Amino acid sequence: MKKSYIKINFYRQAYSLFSALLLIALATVQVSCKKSSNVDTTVPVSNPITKDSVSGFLKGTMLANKTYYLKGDIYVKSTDTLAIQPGVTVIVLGNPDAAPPLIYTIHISGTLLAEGTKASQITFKPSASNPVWPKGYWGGIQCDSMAKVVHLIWANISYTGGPDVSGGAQFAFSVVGVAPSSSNGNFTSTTKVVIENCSFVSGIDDCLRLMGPITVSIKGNVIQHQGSDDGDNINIKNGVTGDVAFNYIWSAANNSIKVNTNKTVLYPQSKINIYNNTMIAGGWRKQGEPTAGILVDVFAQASVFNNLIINCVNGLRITAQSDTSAIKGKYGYNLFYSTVDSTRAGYYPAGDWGKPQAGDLLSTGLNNNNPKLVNLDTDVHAMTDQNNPHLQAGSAAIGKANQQAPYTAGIGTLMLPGKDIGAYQSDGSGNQR
Amino acid sequence: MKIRFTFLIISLCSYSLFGASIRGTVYDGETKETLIAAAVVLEKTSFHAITDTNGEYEIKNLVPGEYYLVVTYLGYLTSRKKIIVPANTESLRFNFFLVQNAMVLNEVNITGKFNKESDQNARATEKNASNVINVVSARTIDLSPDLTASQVAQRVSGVTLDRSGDGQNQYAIIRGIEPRYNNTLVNGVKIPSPDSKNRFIPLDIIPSELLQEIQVTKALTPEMEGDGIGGSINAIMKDAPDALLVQAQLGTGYNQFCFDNKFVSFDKSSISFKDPDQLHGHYYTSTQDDFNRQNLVFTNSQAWPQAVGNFTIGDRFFKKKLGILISVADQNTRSGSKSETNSFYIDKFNNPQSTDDIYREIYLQSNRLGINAKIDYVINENNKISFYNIYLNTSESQSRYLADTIMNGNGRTGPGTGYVSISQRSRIQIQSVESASLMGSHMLWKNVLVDWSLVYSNATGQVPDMAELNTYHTVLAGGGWLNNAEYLKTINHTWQKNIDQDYSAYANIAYNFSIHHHLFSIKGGGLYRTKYRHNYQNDYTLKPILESLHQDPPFTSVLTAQVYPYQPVGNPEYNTSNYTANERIAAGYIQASTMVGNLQILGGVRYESTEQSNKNLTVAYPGYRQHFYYYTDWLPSIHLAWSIGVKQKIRLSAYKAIARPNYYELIDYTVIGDQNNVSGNPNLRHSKSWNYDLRYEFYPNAEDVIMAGVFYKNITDPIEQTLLANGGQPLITYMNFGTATNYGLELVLIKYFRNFGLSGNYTYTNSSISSPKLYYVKSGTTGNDTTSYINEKRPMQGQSRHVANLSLLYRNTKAGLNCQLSFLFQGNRIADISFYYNQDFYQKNYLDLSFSLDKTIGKYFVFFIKLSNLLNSPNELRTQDNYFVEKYTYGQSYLFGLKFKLKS
Repeated sequence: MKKSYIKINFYRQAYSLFSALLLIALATVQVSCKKSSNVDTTVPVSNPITKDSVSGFLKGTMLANKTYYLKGDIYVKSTDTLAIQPGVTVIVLGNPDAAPPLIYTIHISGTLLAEGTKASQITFKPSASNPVWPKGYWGGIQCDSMAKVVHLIWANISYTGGPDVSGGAQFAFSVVGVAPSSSNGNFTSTTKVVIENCSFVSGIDDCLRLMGPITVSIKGNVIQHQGSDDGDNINIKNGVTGDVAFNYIWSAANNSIKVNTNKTVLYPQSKINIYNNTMIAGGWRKQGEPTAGILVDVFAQASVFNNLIINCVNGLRITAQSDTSAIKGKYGYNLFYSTVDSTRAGYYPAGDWGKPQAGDLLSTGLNNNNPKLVNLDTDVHAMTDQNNPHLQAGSAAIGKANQQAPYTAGIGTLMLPGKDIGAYQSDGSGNQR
Repeated sequence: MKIRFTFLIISLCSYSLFGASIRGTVYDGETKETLIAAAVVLEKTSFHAITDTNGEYEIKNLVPGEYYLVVTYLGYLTSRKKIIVPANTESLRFNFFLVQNAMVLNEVNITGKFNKESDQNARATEKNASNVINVVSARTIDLSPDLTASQVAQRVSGVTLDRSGDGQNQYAIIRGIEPRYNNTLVNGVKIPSPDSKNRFIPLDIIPSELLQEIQVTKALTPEMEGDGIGGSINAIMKDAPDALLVQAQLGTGYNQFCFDNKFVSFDKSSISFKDPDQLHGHYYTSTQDDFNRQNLVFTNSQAWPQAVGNFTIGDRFFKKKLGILISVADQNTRSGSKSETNSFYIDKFNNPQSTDDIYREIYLQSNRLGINAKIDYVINENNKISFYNIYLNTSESQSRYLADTIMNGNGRTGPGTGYVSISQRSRIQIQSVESASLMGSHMLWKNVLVDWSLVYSNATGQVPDMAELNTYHTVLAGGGWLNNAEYLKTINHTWQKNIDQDYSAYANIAYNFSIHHHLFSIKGGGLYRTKYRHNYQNDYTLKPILESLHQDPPFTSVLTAQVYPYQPVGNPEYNTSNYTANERIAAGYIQASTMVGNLQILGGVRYESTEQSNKNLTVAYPGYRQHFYYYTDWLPSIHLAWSIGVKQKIRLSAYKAIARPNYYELIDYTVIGDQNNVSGNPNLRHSKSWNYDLRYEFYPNAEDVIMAGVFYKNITDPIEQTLLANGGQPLITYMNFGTATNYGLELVLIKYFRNFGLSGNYTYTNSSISSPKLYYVKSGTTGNDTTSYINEKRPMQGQSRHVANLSLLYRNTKAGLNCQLSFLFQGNRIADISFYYNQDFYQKNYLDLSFSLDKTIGKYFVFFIKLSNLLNSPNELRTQDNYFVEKYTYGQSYLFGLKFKLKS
């Protein structure tokens, strides 16, 4: 696991100052959340950003369909908002082979509203014409403990993971939410993070890393080939609550989805609903650890329903260190399928607390409980995604889901548990990518 | 700063209504040095006096008449002089020049004159001091099994060592007060530390053979620097001798650990002291070929024996005006330790749950070099200048093997049954200190003494290319090995260096006068010191080039592993360990002392102004990372010493002291870790304390002593490391915590019965501090359990309730034999503060037994044996509830050799 060194200065005076600011920001949060669940995701133009090249402190609105060149680190201050309209392309200049390597990162301490549409998506990509994996080209989007609202909708992010200045790999997208210190342990969740319908391709370490008492809606995303020899793809830590649903994750280096609570301080506790995700060929690059499609570990609470787990090194791991009393009875209706014979024993690995549940479908052979994807690439070490994760007629996943699975209302787009197992529903709903 | 008064002349101008008084100075007839604690007796009367630290005596209220004045002093022939005190005389002066007793001189070290390195001198210093002080003489050090100044210091009552895991004992804890509150001095001067964390010079860098004595001052006077809440440890180096002195010692030895284990070492010669960035220019893009691999090739061999040696030569020239001493000591030792650590977390029921089983082997070779040079020149009887230079260099090379088994999960029962990560590390650390002082003392008028010193010191600590090879073994989810393959994870290279430079100037002026036969001494002075510190660190992480399945490659050899630097330019500008700090201290004091009857009073006040600045050199994030501090302290103190006859004394002291935060604790940085963040705290305040001491002393003769004392301290704003839960990502930082108290009792006994001696001390300490600790609270049925804090009252870190030393000595002057058996007991103490309620790590009772022997062979040689850690006492940590945390074992250490001494 990496350590990255930073930049932020946490001392107490700053806290008292920012806690005041946070209160003010709370009001903003309420307003923005309602907005995001509306169909209209148009971001109003205030303070338009008209120049093509951007770097340094930035606030205002990136204008629809415009291309911007990022030629240095971007900082959005804690009192500022960066809004990005549909169709914006951000080309990150920089060169990992230069001396010194030019690795640019977007740092958010305030509000990020990057809200594209299916027809008019937002794109962040490196300037390199032919990027190669595994090499980090830019530093991704890093939201620190002062970030309040983070919306990333219909956005494409590729080839992140360049080292930060201290030498640690950066995550494609991370939010480190830290509430002001509380004497009674009741940390108020202030930061809302909505990551929906986005595409993440070819990063070096974790793809989405979410920490602290924040509320998240991570839905309908496609994550492909993230992590080099390590890297959890959706890594939830330290008190995050919310939903992870309808995501498609292919070829994760380590666990496709991992939920943890901080071992040092157990409360606030991570509480996540994980439903209707599809993960294929996960965990093959990380050696030494029993990687899994879904890992629920250290004192985390989770519900795990309706997930389709194919060709992952292990399937669902709920360890004895998780908050088992809270998880009991809150998982099942997951479909495990494998074309790699050796992994069938690992759907629920021996030694873990989690055991097969009612509604679970555990394939025992190629023709048993076959989810019948439109196309399934049996090469778990493939470099490009040849799969088509939609379901064919006759799929064992169809109609086998538990539509009563728990979910969180009030943040992001409401996506109720589907009737089919996996991210792609036979009726065309679910993941729209 | 401490300069002894060489001369003291009493003003004779005052007029007395009472009888006459006689006074004078007792000198060594040959060297003209003053003699301390000589007995001056008026025969057939009850009038008597003992010379003070300046060799002065005074007998008052004499009726005119004829007397015999007798002066006796150990190692000298008794002098008897007929005097006549005429009527209408106020004051008479009689100086004595004693002749050394040749008979006794042959055994100069044992029963001779008050050699500066002798126990007698040490007792006299303790006795004549105006404050609470303990002294260990060179002779005691010489006879003891101790190799470093820190080991010597722990023989002093109430002093224990902060025993770190790898067996190094760098800093002293005085009466339960941890090292941050105690200053360490060399020749009375504060010199900078090569330690990247601590302000003060580590005592284990000083080879014991260079020492003339160790003084532990437990109550500060105004003339001493004020940052000694626990006290001040002063390592005084050997002084230029009175006459030709040649001393040499050569010894060798072995450590039981090295008998039992092949010694693991690596190639030190291949290590580059500069990182690629420093070698090839800033932003140099490194490749795997830029990194040394030889320092990760570990070889086993039978360890070389230890080698210790020292050589001292000194003499006086030009009619004894010029004194020169050069002393060199070198100690080359090999040692090691094995340890097992249980790493755990605290579950929601507030119970520890094991997560990792860590096995560690450490092989340590250290070379400790010290050079002490002193030159003094007596210009005339009123002026003396001297120059001291001390150079200390410790280089250590450490090979560490670590195997960490993750214990989470079923079937994981012990080492090797879970995911195992293996780390092999080579590390050399070089710490050096150089300090040069030019000092002068001048008698301006007949009763005004001025002394000054100019000191330049620098200290560097360097860890060049610490290399770490990280590999792992795969295991099945249910436990057990998947296969025997070992995979390469990362190779890390780190360069670290810190440099401190101090320029100091000290000046003192003392004025002595008497009013109505009461001697008054007024002293004032000040110091100015400016310090600059620079810390540098640069890290490189090399990752394996993935094999065809994009997985880590199997590990076969570090020499052939294909890796690439992940951040090829390193992080020299961005590492949070890169900072600079400046500190300017200006201090002034005034103190006065006098005798009222048998009561010696010393009181005064010190003023210290501290100006600090620091700058985090991380440039990654815009904003201010620079902080400035300015504060001033008034530090009053009073010391009373009441003599009951010549053999007993009662002392009472009260003083105020401070402790400044360590430089790096104030740096504005945050390191984001996987489980928690770590940050400095620029808002940290310095600690202040009031300290009270009461001590009874009984000196039945020149060697024996009994002391009993009590002490109490009240510390405001003590500094401790703590964990803030912070909602999600916990933060470890330094904070001030209210008030701490510390009280206790001290007993010292030194007693000789003919050939046998008993030297012991015992200290009871009870300290108390309260800080918030993490505690999980169950909320019953609602399920909303929370993280909470409970204020936990506990002893201060490092404090043992019971500390005892006992040495049994045997000396046979005729046979030239000295033996010493030393016990050291250190009771339960908090070694590490846990962030959780009721989970502090306690170091279990520790009993150390060591033995040393000296046997004179012929005229010039002495054979010696030093055996230490004879009980192979483990260093074991457990939580309050006796949950196992860590255990280190080190093995016994054996040393023997020959000493040569020539003294004309």
